[in-house]
Amino acid sequence: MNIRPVEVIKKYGRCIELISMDPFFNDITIGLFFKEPNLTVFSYSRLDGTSERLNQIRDRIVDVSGAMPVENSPHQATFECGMKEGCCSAPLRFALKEAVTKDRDLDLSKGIVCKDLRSDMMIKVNYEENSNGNTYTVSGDDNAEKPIIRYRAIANGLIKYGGFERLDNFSFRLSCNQRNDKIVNLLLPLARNISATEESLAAEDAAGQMTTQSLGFSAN
Amino acid sequence: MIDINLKLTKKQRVLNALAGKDVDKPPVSNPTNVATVELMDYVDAPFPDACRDPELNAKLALTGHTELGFDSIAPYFSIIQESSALGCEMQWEQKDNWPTVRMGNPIWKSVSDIKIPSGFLEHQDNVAITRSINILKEEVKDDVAILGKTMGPWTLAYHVFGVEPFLLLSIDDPEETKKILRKLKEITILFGQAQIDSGADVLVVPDHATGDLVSGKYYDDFLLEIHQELVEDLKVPLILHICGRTVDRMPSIAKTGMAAFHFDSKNLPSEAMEAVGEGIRLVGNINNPETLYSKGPEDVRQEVYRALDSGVQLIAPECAIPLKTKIENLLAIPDAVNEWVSNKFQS
Repeated sequence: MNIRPVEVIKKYGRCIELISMDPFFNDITIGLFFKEPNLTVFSYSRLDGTSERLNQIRDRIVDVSGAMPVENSPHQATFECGMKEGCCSAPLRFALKEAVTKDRDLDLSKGIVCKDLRSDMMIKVNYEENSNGNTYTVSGDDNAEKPIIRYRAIANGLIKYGGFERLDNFSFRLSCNQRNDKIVNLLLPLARNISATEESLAAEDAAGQMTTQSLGFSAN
Repeated sequence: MIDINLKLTKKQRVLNALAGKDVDKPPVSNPTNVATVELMDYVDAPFPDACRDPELNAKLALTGHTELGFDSIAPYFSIIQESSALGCEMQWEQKDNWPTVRMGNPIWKSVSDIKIPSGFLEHQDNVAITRSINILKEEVKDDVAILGKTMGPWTLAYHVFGVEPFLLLSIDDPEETKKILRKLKEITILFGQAQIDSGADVLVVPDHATGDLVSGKYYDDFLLEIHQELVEDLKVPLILHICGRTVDRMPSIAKTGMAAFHFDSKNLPSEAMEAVGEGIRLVGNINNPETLYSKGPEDVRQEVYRALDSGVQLIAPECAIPLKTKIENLLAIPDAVNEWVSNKFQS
C-alpha cells in the first residue's frame, strides 16, 4: 500500500497546490507540498515511472522558478532564502502549473521581456542592486499612448502573483531580498493581463466543484 | 445529547444521532461525496470509472472511513446513476470533473412518457452502486454506517424533462406536474429499496428544489407530501439533501418525518437550527468552495465549531466536495470534532 495521506502531510507538510491531471503522464494528480525549508513534488499514484516523472517535474520547477534542487532528494527543492515562514511560496501555483502542463523553454537570454497585450509595447523588467536591495523595475519601449499606466498595472500584477514587496509604482523586490530573475520572468506574461489571469484561475477553481450552477439547477 | 462515556461504533454513532439518541460525540457523516483526485490515485480508482464499476467504486468510497476517519461511507458520488439507467444522454467527463446529464436533450415530454425500463436495476450504473454497497458491507460489517443515495422525483424530473421545461410545466399545469412527481417517486423507491436490500443503513434523498429556482411554497405544494410518503415506503433513516438557501422551507422539511436534513452553508447553522426546531436533525454545513477548497485546516476547524456550538447534530461538508479539495482540510473535520468534544466535556 502507498504512504497514507495522514503520513504524507506529516512528512511533507501542507499541500500548496494540486494539478489534478498530468497531461504528460497518465493523468496522475501532482501535489506540491511545503514543509520548511523544502518543497516536495508528490503523487499518490503507484504507476511505473511515477518517481521519474516527479523528478522531471522537480527539475522543471527548478528551471522555471529559480528554486534549488535538494541534494540526494530527487523530488524536493527549496529557495536560497530557506523559505522561512513560507517566503517565495506565493508564485509556486504558477510554477507547478508551468512545470507539469507545459513543455517549453523560458528564455532569459534577452532579459526579462514580453510583448504587452494591450499595446504594441515590448515590456521589460530590469534588475539592479541599489539602496533598496535587489530591485526589479518595470519599463518598456514607451510605444503606447500612456505607457506609464501599463507599467504600473504590470508591476501591480507582478506584486500580486509573486507576493513581492512594493518599492514604488514600478519597482519591487522579493520579500527575502534575493535576486531571482526566473520567477519574475515566469510571472511577467501573467501580470500583463490580470483580468485574463484571474478568469483562468477562477475557471480552474470551478472545475470539479458541484454547485447548483455546475449541475444546471440554477438561474445563473 | 452527548455522553462521552458511551462506547459506540461509527455506525451506532451515526444511527443514534439520526434517531435523536445519545452519542459519545457528534458523528462526521457525509451524505454526499468526499472522494478527491488524490484519493482516486491512492486507490487507483479514478472518475468516471469509479462511478461505473462497483469494485472501483467501493475502493474509493472506503477511503472516507479508512483515510479520512469519517463515521460513514457514501459510495454514490454523483447524482446521475438512475438517470443514466433511464436512458438520459450522459457526459461522463474525466477524472477531475463530475459526470452530468445533458439536460438540454431531455428524454421525456409528458407523464405518459414515464416508463421504467426493464432491467433498470440491472443497468451497469445502478449495479455500480448496489454491488458496491454489497462489497462495502462485507468489508466494514456493522462498524461503519453505509449511506446509500436515491434521487428524489424533483431532481429526476430535471434530468428527464430538462430544467426549464419542467419548471414551466409546474407553472402552467400544476396537476400534471404532481402526476409526474408521483410517477417518478416510484423510481426513487425502487432504487432506494435496492440499496437497502444490498446493505445500506441510511438513504440520502437529494431533491433539488433549491432556493435558487423555486420558492418555499413550491416545496409545500409539490414535495412535502411526497417526501412524507417516502418515509413510509423506505424503512431506513432518510436524509434529505437540498442545496442552496433553504431556510424558508426548513419548517416544512421538519415535518417530513425524515431523520435529517443535509443543509448548505448559505444557511447559518443557528438560523437553521431555529427553523427546524425539534422536528428533524441537521447535517452539514461546512462550506465547500471557499473553506474546504480554498482555505486551511484552521478555517475548517472554526466552521466545525460554529456548527457544533449551534447544535448541529452531524457534521459534514455541505455538499459533494470539490474533487481538488486538499486532504488536510478533510482530515481537519474529524480532528475538530474530537477537539471540540474534548474541550467541552473532558476539561
